[in-house]
Amino acid sequence: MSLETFEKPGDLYLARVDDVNPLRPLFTGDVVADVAIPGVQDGGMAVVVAHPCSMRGKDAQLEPRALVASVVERDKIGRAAWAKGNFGLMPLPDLLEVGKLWVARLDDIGKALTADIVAGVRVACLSPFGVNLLQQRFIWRLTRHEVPTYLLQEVSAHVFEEADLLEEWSDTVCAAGMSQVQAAASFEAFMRGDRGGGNTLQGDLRDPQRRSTVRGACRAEAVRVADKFRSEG
Amino acid sequence: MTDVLTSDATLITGTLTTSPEQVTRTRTIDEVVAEVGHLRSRTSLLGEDVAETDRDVGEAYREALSEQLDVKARMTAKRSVADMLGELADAGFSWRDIAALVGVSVPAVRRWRLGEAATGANRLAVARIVALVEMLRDDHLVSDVASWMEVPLVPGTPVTAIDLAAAGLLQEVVEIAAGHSTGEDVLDRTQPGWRERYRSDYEVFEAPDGELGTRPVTRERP
Repeated sequence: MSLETFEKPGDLYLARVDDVNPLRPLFTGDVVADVAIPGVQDGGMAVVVAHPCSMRGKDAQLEPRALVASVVERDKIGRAAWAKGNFGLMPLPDLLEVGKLWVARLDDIGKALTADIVAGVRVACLSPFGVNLLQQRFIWRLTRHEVPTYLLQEVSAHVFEEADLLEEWSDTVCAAGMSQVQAAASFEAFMRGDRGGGNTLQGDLRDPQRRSTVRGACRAEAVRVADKFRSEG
Repeated sequence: MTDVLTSDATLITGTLTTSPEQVTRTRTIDEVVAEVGHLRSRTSLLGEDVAETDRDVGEAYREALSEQLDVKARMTAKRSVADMLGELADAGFSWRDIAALVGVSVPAVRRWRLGEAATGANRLAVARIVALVEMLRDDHLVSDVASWMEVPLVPGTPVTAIDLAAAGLLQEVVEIAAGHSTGEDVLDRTQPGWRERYRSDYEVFEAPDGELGTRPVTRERP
């Protein structure tokens, strides 16, 4: 067996430090600066390992707690070494500083308060590949079962897509003065609205052929919602 | 008409249809095998020549396409980066895919959208993607380019035209759209071993809670 690894550190991240968009919804692979994990740490960095679907309950509201893993700095480990070992760790190279290594300790996990995670400083968001790699290593650590990242991507592609769309929606409507909570609520209503026969835009995201249409509809609606909010405000 | 009969089983029975003096003798099976074998060698050589010519022409075609994309990109690059990004977004591409196609991070694209200046190289990279999209739409009649580029090149594999273009293989994307190559052809040429790499005994399915999951592929027993 051989787990996958990264070509270059940048492959693992969607955004780091100042590039993290505060309007991006909380997602698997988000690294937060200071989080208490019961039985593991009173504070320090942590990465969200909960699956996006298990983090949210009714009406897409975040659950009170989310599964996270401790993140610590450690001595350098070569890129190739991740394929054949260090299975209890997830590499987070160049997380805060180029040339240094941080790791998520996949055995040091626990359910942190979601309110603390949301209120904390988000120092990085993993890319879809980074999230898939985290899940591949986590699955292997827990079960000794090797799942290729492309299969994990196929399962989660529509969820990544929805998070991206909510971020873009929030960029548009929050610029008009809406709060982040209002933005999320209006997005949910639009995405889950019945478009006839029980079809929703959220459901359409599962089909790669329909995603471009959903994006177009979302972008147009976000502009309309923002304009309406401005005119009524 | 006279039948030529023979008691020798290794000889071929022939039929005389013209004047007898044109037939010198009946050929043996060894001679026929040698002659057809020679023909086989000649057709094989011809086949190799045709295949080599096809590879050469294919290479020349891709070089010409690359030049055509460069010319269109230089023209397109006169527009502002924000305008070009807007065209890609209007075509239905995600910002993540646009960033991958241009070869930069998502935050970099976000900063350009908000007005930050891009370098000349990045401006040309964005223009090259816009030129590709326009070529696919206008020259090769792909009606929804973003959607077409997001669909796997070969069913059951995760590689899409977006992945090819993000790897710099823009000409190959045009080749597929033009019908000069299939997804299999391009993957054979650019990703040797892809069939093995993406062969999986697992499938994605909808679980009882309505979310997607993976499970072993179930095969009907004979």
